[in-house]
Amino acid sequence: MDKTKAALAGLLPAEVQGWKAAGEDRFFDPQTIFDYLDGGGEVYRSYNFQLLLSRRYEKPDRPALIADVFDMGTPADAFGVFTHDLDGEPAGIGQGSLYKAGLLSFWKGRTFVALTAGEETEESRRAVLEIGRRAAEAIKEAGSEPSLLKLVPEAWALPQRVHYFHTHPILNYHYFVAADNVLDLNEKTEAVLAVAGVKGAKSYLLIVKYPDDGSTSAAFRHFAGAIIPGASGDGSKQMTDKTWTAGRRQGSHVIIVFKSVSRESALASLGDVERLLEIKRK
Amino acid sequence: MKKRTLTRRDFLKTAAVTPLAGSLALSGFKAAGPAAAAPGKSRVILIRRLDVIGADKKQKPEVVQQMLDEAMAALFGEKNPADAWKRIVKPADTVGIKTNVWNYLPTGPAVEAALKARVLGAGVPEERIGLADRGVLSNPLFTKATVLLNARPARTHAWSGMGSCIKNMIQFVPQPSAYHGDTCADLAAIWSLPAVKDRVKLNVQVMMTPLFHSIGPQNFSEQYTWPYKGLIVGQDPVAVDAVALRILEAKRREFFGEDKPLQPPAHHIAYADTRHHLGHSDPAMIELLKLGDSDGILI
Repeated sequence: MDKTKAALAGLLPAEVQGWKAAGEDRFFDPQTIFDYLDGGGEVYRSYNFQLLLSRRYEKPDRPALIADVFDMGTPADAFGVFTHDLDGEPAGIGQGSLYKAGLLSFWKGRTFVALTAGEETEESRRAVLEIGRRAAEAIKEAGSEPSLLKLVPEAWALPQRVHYFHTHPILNYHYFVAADNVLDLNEKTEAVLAVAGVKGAKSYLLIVKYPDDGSTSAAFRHFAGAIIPGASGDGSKQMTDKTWTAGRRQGSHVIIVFKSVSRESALASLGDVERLLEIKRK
Repeated sequence: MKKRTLTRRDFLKTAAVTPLAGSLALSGFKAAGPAAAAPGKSRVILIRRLDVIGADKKQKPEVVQQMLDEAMAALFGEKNPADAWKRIVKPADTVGIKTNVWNYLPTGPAVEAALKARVLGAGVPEERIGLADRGVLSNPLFTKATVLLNARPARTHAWSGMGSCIKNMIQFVPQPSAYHGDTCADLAAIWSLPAVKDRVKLNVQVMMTPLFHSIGPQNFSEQYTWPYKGLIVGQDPVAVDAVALRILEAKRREFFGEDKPLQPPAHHIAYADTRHHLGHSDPAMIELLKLGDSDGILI
């Protein structure tokens, strides 16, 4: 087994509370992940995952537990893939963790871990949490959240409401903007989507960082032409559902508010992000 | 008291009764309408039996067979399911039953056996009947199939939104990931490839214990399944999938207490209609016939 695979395997315990590692560990890379996760592998590929270890735990007369350990390459992408699904209760494991319905997910450093009990019992819940704790302890290096998060104003930085990603399908997963990739998102772009409000009255703040000014300019023109044609000089437009969308380009960033209740509110949010950008530049 | 959607007496009293329907009533099968669907529409049968799953959580093979038989008779407007099967399978055919073996929620042996039994009954010898999910491109029973039967369990899916009958044919392409773009928007394009085109004669969405919400890389938690105890059967895969999608969406509204659309959306079903003209996704173009138990039917 090569060093990278051995390193991943070493993060997991051999046995916890009677569940023992069963069979051989299986490893998957960005080309072979579909053999294991079918099309769902695209989620992890969109976050540049490098290697996945899958281990099965078995205990007599109990449903199996599955451990999926992802080397995401960077802490930013480990954090990002963790934010793909933010439902659940914080579990106090790693640098961020959630538990729901038999699934524990957490990130620490460049590693993302998902532990699944297909059939949840109190016993399986305890085992999943213990495997998680031990794995988190075994990951020695912590890492930083993406720096783009520093541009999310405090009013928008709500727990379990901020997603980090790169690509268009993931943006649409959280908030449908358009069938076409009107923001020219790709593996080189970084994006944060913050969600505010309650069901039926949610609004969205999107911040995208591009690799250079040229691609930023082109992307903003593309977006503006497709989504807010005829927007006012301040970048705002009232949509057919009476909510407001406002967007601006600042250097290598595009900032957009969707579904704002008012023009003033949308512009205020853009202004808040622009002020944070200014602070960051200094 | 259990509610039933349509009884034999109901049918005889209220439906357009034809001589065939009368014979069907005498034979014990519940005819569900005229022999053919309304012009331009796709007929889809939704059949449920609340007794199909036993206390051991396993499907009862004899009940599954009855469900399939009733669905087939109604789908083709035949009095006898054997006559319905003769409409799609001939003794000289080579038949591939494209199943789905996803370990958390497979098509299941009861449905597979029920399909195979009726293919045998139609006169196809055992050695010309294939049953597989993977490896179909190197399996002569599929590559040389003159008839394909498509059966898979209904479930949400992390990338395509829903595991659909449309999607179940993806094993007929050498590189399935080539169809992942835009969260599988153009899966229906697979159906115009020579390996699939015009060969699929029946589609079955197995709605016994569907999965209505996906979490994690494993895409599964038993908490998000429920015993719907049904089959959706039709020749139009888009229409079959559209009905299954409506049921999953209704279950999600019921469970989450709010409108909670699939993430990602199963837009490949609508695009199969509007872009690829594979079948009907619009409920107005689907003739949905409901048989059996209506308790908890959701649509």
